Amino acid sequence: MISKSKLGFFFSLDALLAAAILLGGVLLISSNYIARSPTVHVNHISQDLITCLSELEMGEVENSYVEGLFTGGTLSSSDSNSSVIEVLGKLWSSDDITIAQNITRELTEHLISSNYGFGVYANVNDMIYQRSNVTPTTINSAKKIISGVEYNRPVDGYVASASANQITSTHVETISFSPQGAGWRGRNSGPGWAYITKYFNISPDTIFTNATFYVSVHSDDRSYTTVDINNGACTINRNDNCFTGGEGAFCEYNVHGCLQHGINRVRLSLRNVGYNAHLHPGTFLQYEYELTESPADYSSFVSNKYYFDDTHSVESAVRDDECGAWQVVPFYIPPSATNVSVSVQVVGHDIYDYNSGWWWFGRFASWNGWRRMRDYDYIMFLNDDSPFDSDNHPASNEVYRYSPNQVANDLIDGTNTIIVYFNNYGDYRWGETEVSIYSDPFNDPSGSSYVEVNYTMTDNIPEYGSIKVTDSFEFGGGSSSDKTTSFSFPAGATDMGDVKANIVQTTSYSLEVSAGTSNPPGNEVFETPAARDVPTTVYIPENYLSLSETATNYIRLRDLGGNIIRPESTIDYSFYVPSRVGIGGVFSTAQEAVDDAEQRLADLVGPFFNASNIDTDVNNQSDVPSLWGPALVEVRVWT
Amino acid sequence: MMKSKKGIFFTYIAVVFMGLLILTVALEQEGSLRSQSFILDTRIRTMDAFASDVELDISRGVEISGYRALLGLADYASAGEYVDNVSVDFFELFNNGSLYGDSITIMVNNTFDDWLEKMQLEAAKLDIVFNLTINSQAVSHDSPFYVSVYLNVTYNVTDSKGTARWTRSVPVSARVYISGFEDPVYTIRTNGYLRSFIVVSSFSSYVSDGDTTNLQIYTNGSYYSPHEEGPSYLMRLEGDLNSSEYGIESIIYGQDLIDLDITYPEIEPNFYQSGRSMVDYVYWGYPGRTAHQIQNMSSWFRLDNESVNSHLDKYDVDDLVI
Repeated sequence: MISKSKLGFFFSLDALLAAAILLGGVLLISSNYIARSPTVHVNHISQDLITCLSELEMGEVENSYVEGLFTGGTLSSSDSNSSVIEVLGKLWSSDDITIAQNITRELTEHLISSNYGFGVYANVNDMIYQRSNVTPTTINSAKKIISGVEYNRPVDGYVASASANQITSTHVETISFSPQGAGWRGRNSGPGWAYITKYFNISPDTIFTNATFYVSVHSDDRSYTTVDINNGACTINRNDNCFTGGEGAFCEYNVHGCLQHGINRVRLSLRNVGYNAHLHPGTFLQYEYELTESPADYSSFVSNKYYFDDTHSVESAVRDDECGAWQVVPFYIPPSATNVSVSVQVVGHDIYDYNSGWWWFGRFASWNGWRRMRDYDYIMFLNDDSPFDSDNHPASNEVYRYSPNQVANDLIDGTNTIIVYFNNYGDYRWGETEVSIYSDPFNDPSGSSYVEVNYTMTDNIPEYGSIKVTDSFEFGGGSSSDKTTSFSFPAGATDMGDVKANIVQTTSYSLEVSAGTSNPPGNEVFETPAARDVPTTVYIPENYLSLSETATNYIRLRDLGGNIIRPESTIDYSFYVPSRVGIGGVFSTAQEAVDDAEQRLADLVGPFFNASNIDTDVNNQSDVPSLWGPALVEVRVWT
Repeated sequence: MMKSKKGIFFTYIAVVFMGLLILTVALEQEGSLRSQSFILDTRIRTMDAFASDVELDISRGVEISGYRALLGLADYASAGEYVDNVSVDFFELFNNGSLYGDSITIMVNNTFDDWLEKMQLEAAKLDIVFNLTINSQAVSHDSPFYVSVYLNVTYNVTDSKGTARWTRSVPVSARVYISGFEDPVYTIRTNGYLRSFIVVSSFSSYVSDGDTTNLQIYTNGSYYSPHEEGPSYLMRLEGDLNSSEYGIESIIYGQDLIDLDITYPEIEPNFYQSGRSMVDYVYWGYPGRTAHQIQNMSSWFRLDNESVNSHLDKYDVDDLVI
């Protein structure tokens, strides 16, 4: 039994225990609520603050400091539509932290109770603004993503494009002389002569750097001057050491100092004491020059006028019946050309009308061979071995005109050839004293012999502003009746220009030219259609070639009669490169953008032109945004 | 105290103890649930904040990529060829950074796809999977000197642990101010020799009491102003000189064309064609229109009077026609 005093102690203890438990429960409950309350508050405050900063536009802010930033130019009008937080991010990215701090202070200090500390930060660690009046025990943060903002990157930058207004570059030009001649059957006591005269114009702006005359002649009398350039500026004699070979001879002669600006005249005087004197395929004058030029405008309409050379044949003084003249003229029609229109004019001087004379008196007496053209003093072939036209009763000075409609059906894509004969055909010849295929393109353009070719290009038109680049290389290697060479267009070429093969032979019969991107090339681009029809220059249509720098273009020359093709044969090719670079990267300053544009332009045209001679015209554009970042702007609130 | 009263007291004590015990356990349980709820709440708030951020930031991404895509189109056209179809070509640049299959430098790392990738990276940092698809897209003018890009996108934000996920479709738009952009019509019509950049005219009056100073400044500077018969900037990118309610026009400084003919005499036809109205789209698009010479202006200066909003009226020169 428990005594009364013990019972009191027991009850007291019991009451104490109960009180302790009740107190513990109350403490437990209250501590739970006390611990959670500040966290919820700072969370709301941080969310409210970042919402406020991200939705309030700078233009809506009524604050004298902010208005001063606009009027002072620190903030632009475009910033007025940006949110405060975007502007803070922009200022942070450009390291204008002080201004960002001031804006934040001005707009937030009065919003947040002094019981709280808070700060605005970018990318976690970069402090834009901080109020540290309270030691943090509970902290919360809210963040916003801002694309286009990154520390030390321009929010708005500059771009620039550049174009070359003038460029000085090196070019190669080939003046081609096609086979032509006559001066039949002269004797030592009275040689026959073939005088061939070509005129061509050279721009006064060119600076000659090199010039070579490749001469391939059939002329059996070696004792006379053969070539005269610009009335004695340079002469090449048939008996010069540079000529190799016999009747068919070849010479490669440096004529650098012989050319002049403006009209140039090259006259070949071929003296003959046996057969007929003539040029073989392989006579061409090639000169290199520098030219300062502006990017050209390339029209879809193309008009080329191919003038004949003036071929003047003079008979032997001791033979009275053999003076006929002949000439091959090639011209080119690209396969992709449309609206092709070709007109031809052939002018003969001093043509002898065979039928009007006494057949037995001083005229040839035998037609024992190839007779079928014997009745014609004028014969013209166009891409065929059957005459396109002939005349058995010409006037002494006759003009033959052929309209586009007349020649249209006889044209082919690629290299076309015309051969004109006056008073001769094949190895048969007749005539009286002298005869000319007349041409004087600068003094008498409308009265000269020519082929006028007009067409429209729908594809492959170089972009305006492109610069044409020309180059040439020899086949090299040894002489052979079958020669192949190859080349690739360089990286950076945007359009293909003319590609031509200049064939050098000292005798010729029948030529086949093929091209393609595999070896041997499988696309025949030219085959001699008629006797003597081997032009010096054969055009290679671009559809058989590839502009890609990784592709190899092959060109094959093959003489079907086994005659030698010399290694001096060349390929002339041209291509176009742009003279403009578009906008590139975005830069912090206009000058950096301009420098970049100029460098890109120099890199682009550098392989083809002298970079120091590029005159640039730069346009730059500002306020170009970039997808930098994104930046994380964070508001932290603590208590 | 009586024994029976003691029993009641002990029972009461026992009940109180049990009550306290239950209360303590219950409180602990509630604390645990509250803790879990707080974590979930925080997680959902984080995802919600990210989704809100993305919705706000999409238009920034659209504006940046859109500006650059428009710049890419203008640059392409300025190289000599109008774009085929602005609506198609713009979004090839905007989304893929290419034009007709060719990569365009200005778009490198600045396409809308790049923006999406960056957002996905940010989402991954928060253990969120973020995806977005474009349901529709359009580019057009909503005013003469602004190009607007409109997207309708569907995005979904998913917690990587599967706690929560939501999908929303939202319309997005951004505007690009075209000031400073090149007008390709000038460039292409003059084969690259003459270039003109959009500078918005601030003139409200061109001629006052016969004083044509403002009109001369407007012309010499090739400033642009709205005109409902002129082509919009987007149409100019396509070389389309028809009219648009958001049309703009400038007056060609004719002396530039005359100078080009002097510099490049070999180019035919001549750049300068006398007698034509010098309003750009009329000069190149409607060469047959009658045009009037104006007093106190250069001899090459002509304006037509056939447009909906007469150019003579617009430029205040009705009384100065020669």
